[in-house]
Amino acid sequence: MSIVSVEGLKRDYPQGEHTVHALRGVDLSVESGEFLALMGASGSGKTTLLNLIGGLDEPTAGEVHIEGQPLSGIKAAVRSDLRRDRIGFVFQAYNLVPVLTAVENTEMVLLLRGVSPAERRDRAMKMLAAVGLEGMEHRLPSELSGGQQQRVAVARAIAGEPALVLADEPTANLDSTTSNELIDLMSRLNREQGITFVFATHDPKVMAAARRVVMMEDGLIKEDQTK
Amino acid sequence: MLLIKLAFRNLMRNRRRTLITSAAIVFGMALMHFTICMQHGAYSAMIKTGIGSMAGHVVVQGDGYEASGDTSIVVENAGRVAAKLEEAVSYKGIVLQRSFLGGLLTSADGSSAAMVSAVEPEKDREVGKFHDYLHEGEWLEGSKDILLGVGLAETLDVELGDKLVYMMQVDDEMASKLFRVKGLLRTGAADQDGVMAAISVEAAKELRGGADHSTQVAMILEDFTQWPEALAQGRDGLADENVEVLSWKEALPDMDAFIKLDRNAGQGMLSIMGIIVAMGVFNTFLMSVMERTREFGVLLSIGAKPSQIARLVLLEGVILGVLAIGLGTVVGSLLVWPAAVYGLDFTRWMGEAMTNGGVVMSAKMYCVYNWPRMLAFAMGGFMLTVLASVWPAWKVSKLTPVEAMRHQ
Repeated sequence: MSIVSVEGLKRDYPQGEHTVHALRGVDLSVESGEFLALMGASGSGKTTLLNLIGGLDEPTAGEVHIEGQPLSGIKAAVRSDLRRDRIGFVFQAYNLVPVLTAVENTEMVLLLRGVSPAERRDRAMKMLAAVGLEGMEHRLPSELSGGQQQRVAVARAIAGEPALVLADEPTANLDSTTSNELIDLMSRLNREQGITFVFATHDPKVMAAARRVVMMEDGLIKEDQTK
Repeated sequence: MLLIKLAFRNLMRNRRRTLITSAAIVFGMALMHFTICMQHGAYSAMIKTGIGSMAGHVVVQGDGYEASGDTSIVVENAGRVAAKLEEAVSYKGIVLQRSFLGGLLTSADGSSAAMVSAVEPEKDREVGKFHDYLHEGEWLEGSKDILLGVGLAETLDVELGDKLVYMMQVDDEMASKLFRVKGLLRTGAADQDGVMAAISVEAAKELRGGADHSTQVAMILEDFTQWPEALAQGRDGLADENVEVLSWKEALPDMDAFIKLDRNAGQGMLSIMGIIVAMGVFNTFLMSVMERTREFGVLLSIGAKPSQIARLVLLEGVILGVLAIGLGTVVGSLLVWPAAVYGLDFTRWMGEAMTNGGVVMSAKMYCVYNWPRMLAFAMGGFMLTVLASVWPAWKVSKLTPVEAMRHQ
């Protein structure tokens, strides 16, 4: 069974008297364990597609299934639970809670799940060690570099052992060396832990690391290549 | 715990703003507590003075006296009525007789109208107020002694030991009696000191031709809070007498009305102040929420429910409320302490005393802790603080992840 199944997905945004057709009818299937890059120029619809797959936004038409469960028609609270339990997110701007330390940010998803304090601290420490941040667990985001913050974001995304991680331009704000390190990290997590990664990116390094590249243009899939 | 930590740190993000808001709550709360205790002190003093000089916790008067104020309406067989009252009420207290008389005092050098209170000297010394006003001379002993207000003594041009004649109307006839000035009374309120005089109940009865009549039989309880039960027992016990049995509130209606009016006005002012402070808190929360909209979007996207985010904002309100209201209560209580022990002297602005609701009030006021009311206002303040975070919390609960994350 596909982990993500997208059928005839459309998303229109009214803008004054005009309508922007961000997605014009996308079909996509992602299998478990894939390392997939959505490529395309700005405005091609990558982020919109990622938001719809993650249940952050509602499509104008079409359907998204996560592990066979349709996202349309379900209550916001159920959708929140689905995101909390099955999906991890990594954002371009890291988006950590600035008043929480690295380990507390990592614990957040587990807190939302109701995991006990001792267990979530233990798991968060292991996640931070897995992303190479041992010794920095108690630093605030402002005390970490951009690359380190993005590692914390990755640790937060995988702390709940999700089936799927959606990453929106995760390397866009990082220098070349840090970008490579982060791509290597996510690639390793994909291989070793079997976590499915879907990236929205126009970073060639991510494209090079991805095993499947989906090219988007004007809200449509232009090309779908598996290496 | 992490959620509480997060809420607390959120409050501390903009320390200056949170401190200013907290300071407003602390200051407002402290001022509320001080005002409550000052009002309570002033009312307690008024009630004590009113009861000690003009009434009791339970007051027995001739039927119709309270409504008409007619001094000819008396409690007949006052001694027997006093004994029945003492027997009927099971609570500890002192039963005493009083008469309030009008009339004319004449000395060798002049004459003046006077308001004469007749009291039982020994009992009144113990629980009454007149003894506290004794400024010069000695307390009443025999039926020929009279105490004069300092102003009245000046008008009559008499000194301690001087003689004067008191004349009053009894059953359409004039009665008079010779008195010797035993002491001078001073309340500090010129209007009272210019007309007041005190004699013994025994002397008043002599003036009434020996009849055992008094204007009032009053019971002053050891424990003030027992008055409702004592009143009911007194009413039952004296049901067959031609008397009216009143509570202290009914016997001192002007004072009771003044206290109610003043308390309500004070409460109105305090409520307005509370609302102003709450608006400041509301502004703080709204700004704080608007600034964090994008962050809430991230929390929503990683699986937080809108209700959980709203609860986080409410928790911030609860933490701010608990800390600021708690500190305000401590500061207020500490501020009250010196005013409760040493008093506040308003003599410079008000003179030594003034009359409110027919009762003399000293210009030196003492705060009295009123814990139930302070607790009620602290709870009210806490509720207002939390209430100020409700709308921002509701607003947050309506956010969608994408909209929130687009927010700059």
